[in-house]
Amino acid sequence: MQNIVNYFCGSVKIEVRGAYPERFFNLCARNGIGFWEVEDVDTGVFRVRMTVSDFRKIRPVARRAMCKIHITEKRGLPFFTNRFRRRILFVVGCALFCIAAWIFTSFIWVINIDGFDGLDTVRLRECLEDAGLYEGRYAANVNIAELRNQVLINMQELSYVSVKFNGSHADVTVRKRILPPEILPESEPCDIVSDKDGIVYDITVKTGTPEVVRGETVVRGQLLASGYITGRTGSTIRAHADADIRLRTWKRMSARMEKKNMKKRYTGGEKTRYTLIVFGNRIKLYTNSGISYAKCDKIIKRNDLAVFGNIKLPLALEHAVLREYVTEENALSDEEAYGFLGDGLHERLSVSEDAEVADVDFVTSSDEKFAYATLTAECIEKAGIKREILKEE
Amino acid sequence: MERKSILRRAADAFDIPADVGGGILHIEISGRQEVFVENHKGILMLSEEEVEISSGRGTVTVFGTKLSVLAMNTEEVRISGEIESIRFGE
Repeated sequence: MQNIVNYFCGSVKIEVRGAYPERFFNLCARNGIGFWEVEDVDTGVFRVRMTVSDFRKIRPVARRAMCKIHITEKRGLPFFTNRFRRRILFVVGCALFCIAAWIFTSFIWVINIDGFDGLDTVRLRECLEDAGLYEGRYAANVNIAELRNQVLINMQELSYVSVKFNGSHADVTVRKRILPPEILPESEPCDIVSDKDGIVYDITVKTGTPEVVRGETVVRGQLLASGYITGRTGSTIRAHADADIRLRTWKRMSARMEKKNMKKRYTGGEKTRYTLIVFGNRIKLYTNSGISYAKCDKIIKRNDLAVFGNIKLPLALEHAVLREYVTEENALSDEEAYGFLGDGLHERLSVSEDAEVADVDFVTSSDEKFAYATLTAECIEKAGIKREILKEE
Repeated sequence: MERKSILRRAADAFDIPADVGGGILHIEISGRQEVFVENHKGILMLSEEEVEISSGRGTVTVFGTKLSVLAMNTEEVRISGEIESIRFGE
């Protein structure tokens, strides 16, 4: 600790030369001049270290002790900073750098969003922008509480938003609102009715009276399990029906496609263009901005300039590649067309989490112009929703 | 026989450490590397082999090799090096 203090205060190493250097040390001690690191260099010659402020007091002491003093080493921050006294531009540059660093780190350059599973990120970013959080915004001007409220109001599907500033990063954490299912109280008597068409695959009634049997065809809205229970004595009570029911259902999808379609063929013609984007302003780094290709793909790659890993600067270099192509008529074979249709239909086939696909039937046909495909998926899925038994019933 | 000072006699009477009274040399030795002397009256002689310190009524000489004064102020002096012996003189 003392070394750090000495560094900041500055210290000098002096050579004391005289007939009685010990007298010099004693006088120093008596006058409150502290010193350390005494080295015996030669007969009557010592080296000693002291602080700069104490060194300023030793002239009369040295005179009294009849010693000659000269500085052999200077150490510490005051001497280090003294070196830059005449380098005005260097000092100004350092100051400007500090100011620039302070200014640039006062802005938000990166917005990290976490916890948006299943949410629309683009919309969330738009909402944040509307609420005043966007890249390049002065962080001190962002009112976090107001921003949070505004985002929660604008995006009803969110239940929680937190915004934390971490240097030039804004870390936004969101949580999706999970709406509770509409639950009938256990005390309320209810029936279970089908919410889809199908054939009963299995039925297990825990409470209530089954109204359908396995293998029976049911339609949407049909009663599957009744909340009325008839006892041995013939009396009937109303109960909250509960049952696990699975139906065999079918999903049918059709598609067609032209067997002759247009296909891209790249000619090999290619142009590369660079654009510099400074604070949103585009500066073209090319001269001829016209596109001579009749048809072309434009592939844009944007490189945002960042420092220290991921602190984005308002500078970006855009690299655009124009690739010329011509369209040619392409005749597909039936098999190729069926393959495309099959891929598309399988992608469209989506079943809920508690359903399983038992069988898939894929039927194809074609005529001169089109290829047709029909996909029929047999699914086993849970069915049944609770419907309140009204008192009049 | 040396005449005891009033402070020393008072310290003896009240059974308190002699250096509390003040003015008496207080020496602490840490191993063979360091000697700390309190209430000194100045350095009389300083070299790498010998450091002689005045106590006011006598002297204390530290003998050794590579001796040096680590720090010194009005009351205290700290000496380091390879200490061989300490001698009290008149």
